[in-house]
Amino acid sequence: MAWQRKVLRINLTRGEIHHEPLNMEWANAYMGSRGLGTKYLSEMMDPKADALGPDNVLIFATGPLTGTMSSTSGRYSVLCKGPLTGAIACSNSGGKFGAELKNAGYDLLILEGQSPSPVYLNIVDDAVSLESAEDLWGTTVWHTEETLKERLGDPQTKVASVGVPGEQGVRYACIVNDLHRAAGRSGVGAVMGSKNVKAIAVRGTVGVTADDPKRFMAVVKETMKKLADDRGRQGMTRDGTNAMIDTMHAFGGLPTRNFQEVQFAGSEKINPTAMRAKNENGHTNLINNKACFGCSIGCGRVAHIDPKHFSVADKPQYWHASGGLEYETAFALGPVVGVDDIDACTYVGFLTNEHSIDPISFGVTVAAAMEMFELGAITLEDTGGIDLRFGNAEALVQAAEVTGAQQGFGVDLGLGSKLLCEKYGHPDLFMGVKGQEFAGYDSRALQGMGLGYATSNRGACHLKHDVFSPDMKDQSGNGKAEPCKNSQDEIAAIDSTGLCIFTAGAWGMDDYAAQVDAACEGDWPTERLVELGERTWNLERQFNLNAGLTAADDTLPKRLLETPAPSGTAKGRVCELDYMLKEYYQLRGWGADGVPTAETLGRLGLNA
Amino acid sequence: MKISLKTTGIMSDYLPADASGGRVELELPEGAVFAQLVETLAIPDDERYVVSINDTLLPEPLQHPLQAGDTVIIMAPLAAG
Repeated sequence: MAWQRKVLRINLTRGEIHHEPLNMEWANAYMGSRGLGTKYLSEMMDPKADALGPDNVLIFATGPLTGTMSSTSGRYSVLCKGPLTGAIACSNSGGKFGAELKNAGYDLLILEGQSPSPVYLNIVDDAVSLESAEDLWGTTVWHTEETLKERLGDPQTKVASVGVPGEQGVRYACIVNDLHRAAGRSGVGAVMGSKNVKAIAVRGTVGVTADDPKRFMAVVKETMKKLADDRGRQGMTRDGTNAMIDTMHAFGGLPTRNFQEVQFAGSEKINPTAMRAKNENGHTNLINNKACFGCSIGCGRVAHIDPKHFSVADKPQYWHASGGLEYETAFALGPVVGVDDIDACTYVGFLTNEHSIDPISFGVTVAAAMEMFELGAITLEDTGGIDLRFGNAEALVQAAEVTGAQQGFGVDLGLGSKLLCEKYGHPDLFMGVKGQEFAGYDSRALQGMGLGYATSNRGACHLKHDVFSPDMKDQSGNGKAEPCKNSQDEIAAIDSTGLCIFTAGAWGMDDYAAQVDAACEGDWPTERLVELGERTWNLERQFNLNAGLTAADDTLPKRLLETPAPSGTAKGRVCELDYMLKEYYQLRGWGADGVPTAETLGRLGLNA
Repeated sequence: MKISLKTTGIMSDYLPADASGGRVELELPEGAVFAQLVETLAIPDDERYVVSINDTLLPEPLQHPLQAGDTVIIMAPLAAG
């Protein structure tokens, strides 16, 4: 148990709805969520297919622990081929949608084909229907979610949807659920839009059952206590993830002005202390923290914008409370674009949720545009009059508004940084890997992070490995390959449980295994979890190789490899990727060409 | 001697009450090492943190001698976010 043993498969082209049993052989090898979704995706589609065409497959995957009483059990993954990267996309979200889908009785929801007209999917346990979304097409996430909840008449309905950027193929459009949680990266929202699916509404009352309820409750109690006592968890609850902006600034790993610098003097104007402070109008940005389903951390922020601020002074519809700054939004709407205006950053954060755009990719794309604007490669005529200089908060706001509406220069910004930099003749200014923009860590200061960025199967990503501790002890590339590889495997396993990786500071792999073992049938020792994580990583790699990616894609921009960090604790360093990568391939059991050897595939039970 | 201390994240829990914005100027005896600062701030032995002094990362900071005018930063460890 803990699995529902049921898959909901929708053929959008034909409008067919099927319930089918979960493939338990695959569930035993890949567990759930990220791992199991990767297996289904790999079996169902040709990795060479057009990411925005009908042959791409979009999978919403819960884990066996999703929707249970384990702490942080609100997670689900969205998988498909990513339009931003051409690689596998696996984007993870919290909120309540995933737990609701599980409670409706499904481990996986699979969308195939392409609907001939805009639709939304309505799921109430076993009752599933495709409904017209003609009246919702062209509207925002927030409008769609509120309209569907009212229309369906049950306030407990959970909604995941896309805005105009998702409909119009913005390559970093995300899928937003519960108004401000998102499967944020790699453009999964553009894939949903390409299928003419505006939204998924779900209400679940079936429940989730553990295999050994008494043991499961005991394990959950024990692990929750461990989480409660953890200092990292306490910091996350108090300050949110944005506490890291101060550490990264002090450390000298805070990407600033499109990675030209590694420290940002204005970070103190957008940090957790600034979020709690009263401004000159007596307004305080932060209202409270917020937790996803079943979470005892509560790292989410709830904030509101000063109504007197230029961004919303004439827009009372934005005076309400909504998702506040987290570290990645603060980085991508702050230092990397040189902006230190907390209300502008918060407003643009609201817009990214309202319109379903990934704030990381958006911010880093704007940063590249700003650098090209200052170089004269992009002109005022190109931007439609937006004065796109670093540090210009008004320009950031205008850029977000036109990108959300997909008007004017917003269409160019919707290309993502890689294509934008190529279009305007400066491909070297793209700051990312495999077409996806970096998160808020500079790999000249954090070498293991650089290796993780270069090898992440979904393109540049900070969430698929955890080398923070070795990186903060030693700023060379020595000894980084092994913790990078090991943490990639472990996080692939954690993602596959349906729990949040923000528990990983408090819990070891034994803690996850104990919860899975009590919740699921069969024996789930720690070694089995780690092995399925490695299996998942290699299957993702195989998907990418079959899509046409090669070892040449496992690299970083010249700026990080050749231009030394200008300040901070890593002043003078570049990222030492070459030798880390060689060691990494060996540890992975891959050839020098980055291809898993037959022996490695055989050991993991994978086909060549 | 006076040093300048800054903390990040949850390490601000250990700052004296007169600290502002995560910063404070502290008076320490001449010849003090970092361990004396830890004692002054009452940071428990099992607390995890990272230290830089004058922008140099110190993996093993406890016996590092402090000097007047040093800028000491005690950082909360990172986690994904």
